[in-house]
Amino acid sequence: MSESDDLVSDQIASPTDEVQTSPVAEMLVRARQEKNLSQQDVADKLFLTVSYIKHIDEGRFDKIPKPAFTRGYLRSYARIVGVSGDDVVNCYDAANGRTEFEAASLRNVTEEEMGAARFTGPVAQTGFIGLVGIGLLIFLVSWLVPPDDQSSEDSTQPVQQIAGRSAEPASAAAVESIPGVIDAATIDEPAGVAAQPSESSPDNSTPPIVADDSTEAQPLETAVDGAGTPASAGEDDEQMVQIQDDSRDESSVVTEPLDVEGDESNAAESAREVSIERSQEGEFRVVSVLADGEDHLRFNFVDECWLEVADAEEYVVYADLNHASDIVDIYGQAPFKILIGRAQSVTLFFNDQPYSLVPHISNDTAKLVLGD
Amino acid sequence: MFFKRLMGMFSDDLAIDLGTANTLIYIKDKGIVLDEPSVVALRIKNNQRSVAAFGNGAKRMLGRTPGNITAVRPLKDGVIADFHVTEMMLQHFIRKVHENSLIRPSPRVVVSVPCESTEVEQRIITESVEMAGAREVWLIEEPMAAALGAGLPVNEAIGTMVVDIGGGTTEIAIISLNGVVNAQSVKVGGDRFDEAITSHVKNTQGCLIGDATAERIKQEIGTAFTCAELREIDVRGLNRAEGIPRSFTLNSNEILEALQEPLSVIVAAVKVSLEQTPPELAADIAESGIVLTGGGSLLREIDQLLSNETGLPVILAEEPLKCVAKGGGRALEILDDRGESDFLISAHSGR
Repeated sequence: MSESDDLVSDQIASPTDEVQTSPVAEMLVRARQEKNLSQQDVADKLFLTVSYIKHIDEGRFDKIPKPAFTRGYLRSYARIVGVSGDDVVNCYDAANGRTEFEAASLRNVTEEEMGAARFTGPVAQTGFIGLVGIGLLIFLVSWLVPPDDQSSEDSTQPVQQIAGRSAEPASAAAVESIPGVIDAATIDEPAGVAAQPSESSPDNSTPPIVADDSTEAQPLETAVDGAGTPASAGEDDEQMVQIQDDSRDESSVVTEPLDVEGDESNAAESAREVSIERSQEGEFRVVSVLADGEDHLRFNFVDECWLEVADAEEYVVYADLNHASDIVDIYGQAPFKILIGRAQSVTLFFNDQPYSLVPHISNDTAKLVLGD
Repeated sequence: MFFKRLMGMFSDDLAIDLGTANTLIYIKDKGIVLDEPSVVALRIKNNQRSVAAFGNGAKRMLGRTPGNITAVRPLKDGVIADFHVTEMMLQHFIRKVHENSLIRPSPRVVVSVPCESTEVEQRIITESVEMAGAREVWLIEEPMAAALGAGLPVNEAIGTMVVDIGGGTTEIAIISLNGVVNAQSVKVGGDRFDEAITSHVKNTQGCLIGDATAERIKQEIGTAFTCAELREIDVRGLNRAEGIPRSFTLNSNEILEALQEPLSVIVAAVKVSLEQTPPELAADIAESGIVLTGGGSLLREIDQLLSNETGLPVILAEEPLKCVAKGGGRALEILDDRGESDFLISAHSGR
């Protein structure tokens, strides 16, 4: 094609240049003119008819017979005139949009993104139906289990009655020694009273209610023991520590009978009374354990952690799950036998001196004897 | 049957592009959710095979495995070469896209097959997908899926030519009114390009290179037509004479030369296909052009080569690698919307 032809074609194109609005067309025409190529040159190189190139240059993409091909033509055109094909196509997409199918099919989800998109469509149904199924199962199980509980509760009643009858001389005193079995009236009390020996008598018309499912077996045994050995409360060998967790916001003082972990040698010893005081200081919950001694242990918790402390006489003076921002002060007699469930979440002070737990940590649990 | 339907409620329908090089999975409304190499690494212990890795993990192992692990590509030339490994791979991929499902997935699946695949090959693919957990299997011819995925007007009375250059095969088809008018399939694809590069390096440099290196050379400097820009790449390979690894430089012109043979097969197949096209459709193709899809179309200037050889406009589809999977998904959507689909072949393994 001669230069005059070029000029002619560009002159023809120039009036339409003014009316064109498509930035894609502008971009391509400018690049083509910079390269001194005519529409015919581009058409020859792309093996397309000049009319197609004209339509593109004028931004009249709807005139191209097969719209599906438009992006391909634009890419080829862009390459001929030295412009980035991606830029041109992106520009075209921004101006013209994609059809619904194209938009949907181009919405690719990479593996990483699947996380966000995973709870949609039938998959979500699977998940929810599965969860609902599990929920129903749990409900069914919990609905079926209570009769068993009821029967076990019922079974405690005769035992206690038997205890009451067989231990008639000891009467109320023997029953008072049953720990963990509390009066129905006291169940609603938020704190402190739970561990107190029940005041209820075997003749009480209100059946005694077991405080906690998990401790249910123990009081039962205790009741039998109580029946077998009509002893005074002080001589009872099975005792337990029961700590109410819902006392977070209230101050209370609990006098707790203690479990001696089945130590036979201590069976004859009298129960230790350990005073546990809970108070709220700002955002910290402070638990003070007073167990007859001058040595002071302080635990600062930064995360949930189980703590168990036994004092010189091997009494478990404290055993409870603590939460972040709990402070536990234990006054007792060293040496202390300490078990910490998650040593990483506790800072320990012994007689106000920081004590490193690192040498005692094994599998995140610390077990140590302090002040030996 | 009822149980299968019930299970199907908990599974997304899938379109699988079971390719020689890559397997892609498309889920309706989600798009492409999986794009992994069709490679499985097998660990052999006491004469028993167990799987060590699938997909990307296994591809990294190709050519780098110790004695007890072999990384295999269960598909060859577009069809299944190792039935059990393909089944395991598909099972893994189907579960992977249903990761959070509590129930074993049992989806409807559309799988693409080469257009000249035999009945036996189709049956093996169907069976393999069924064994992997699909409750219903449909087959779709690869070029048809590619055309649908590229957004071409397949349902109109206009001839459209699609060239899908995959890993193992190149599928050429002329499509009009939802059907394939004329199709060709040649067993030349990305793998043959890699082999050609490997053998060229062996002959000219006296060095041995692995498949992964050959693929990297192809992707970085490979070209199908002379271009102004000369690209170079530094490669390390095992010198055959000295027996030690050596570094050398290759340029794009050398690779162009190496690729001549496989490229000429593709060009010849395109020409044969055009010769056999009815004149009206040929006129349509001459006007609008040939559309390239598949991973092989990412080879630089391949459109230029075909364009020069045929004298027709050649355009590259958007996201050519994903066209087949997207097309399969589109066919499934059409099946759901209309209750029937002209593109899909219902397949049952008879089990």
